[in-house]
Amino acid sequence: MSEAVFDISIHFNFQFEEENEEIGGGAEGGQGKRKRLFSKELRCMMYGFGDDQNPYTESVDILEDLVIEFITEMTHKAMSIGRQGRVQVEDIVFLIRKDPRKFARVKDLLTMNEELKRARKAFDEANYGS
Amino acid sequence: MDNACESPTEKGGETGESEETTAAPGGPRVTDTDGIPEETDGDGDGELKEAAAEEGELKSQDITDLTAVEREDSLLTPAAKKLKIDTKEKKEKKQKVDEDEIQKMQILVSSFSEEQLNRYEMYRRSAFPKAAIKRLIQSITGTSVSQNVVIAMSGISKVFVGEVVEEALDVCEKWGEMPPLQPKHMREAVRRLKSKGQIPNSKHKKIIFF
Repeated sequence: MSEAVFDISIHFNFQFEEENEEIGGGAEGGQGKRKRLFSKELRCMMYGFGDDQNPYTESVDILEDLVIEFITEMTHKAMSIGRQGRVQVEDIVFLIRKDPRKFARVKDLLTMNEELKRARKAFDEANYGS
Repeated sequence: MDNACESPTEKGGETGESEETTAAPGGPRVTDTDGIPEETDGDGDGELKEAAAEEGELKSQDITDLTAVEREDSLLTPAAKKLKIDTKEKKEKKQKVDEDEIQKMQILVSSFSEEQLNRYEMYRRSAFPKAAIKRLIQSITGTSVSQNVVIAMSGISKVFVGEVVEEALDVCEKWGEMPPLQPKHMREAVRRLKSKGQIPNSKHKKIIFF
């Protein structure tokens, strides 16, 4: 089982140190032929975090590969702890416990989501009554 | 994508400003999450000592006067009451701190220039698309994942992007260059974060004893 997991990550070739950022070149940089998933959102994010209004495409590509690698690592780790083979919120919170920023962010997001669900439910019930 | 670009001089000061903005949400919360457990631990120790002292006193009384439940109640109530009041006070203090923070944020945001407002809006609004994240996670696990997992993962990824970009901007400034960020800044930033342990890497098998 663990070998299959390793195979997947090698197949995607996440070692960005080997990546050549050729503009329009046919070289297999990072993701190979995978389509860019987060180009637009990442540009807005980089601007929000302090970069230029129009960040370089190569930097955006590097960031996208980093994010996908990060998500993949977290997912694999979450699958190996708690309930095996499944990814649950508790596992993610456990993995993140040492990083104060991420931990606080996850707690906030989940609390806000609960509050929103409660508010929506109360709103729907109020409407249903009238 | 956005409005016309501003003068370069603004950008220089901008970097520091937006870094403060991103640091602010993280900062107070760090102290909150770290401070509160320490306080409860200190109080908890005091509670245990009090409860033990009271238990010693009561045992000297006639045992037949009190039933087991009453004894437990009279043991627990003072300690439990104190704990309840303490947690309530702490919650009130935390709410007050939140209100102060909200007020300060409002004052700060009201004094932003237009460029700063744009950047702040992008900072707040940008997010990863939930569908793509869900598809990515499901392609790795092979099973379906709940919505909360997708929410948590998107949130953590955004914080991760923020950490990398901030470190890269530090590197860029240290090398005496200007944004936009170049791949060499990003790579140096990742190298630094890796040595701090912020970048997870489970490909390298750790040999502990040899």
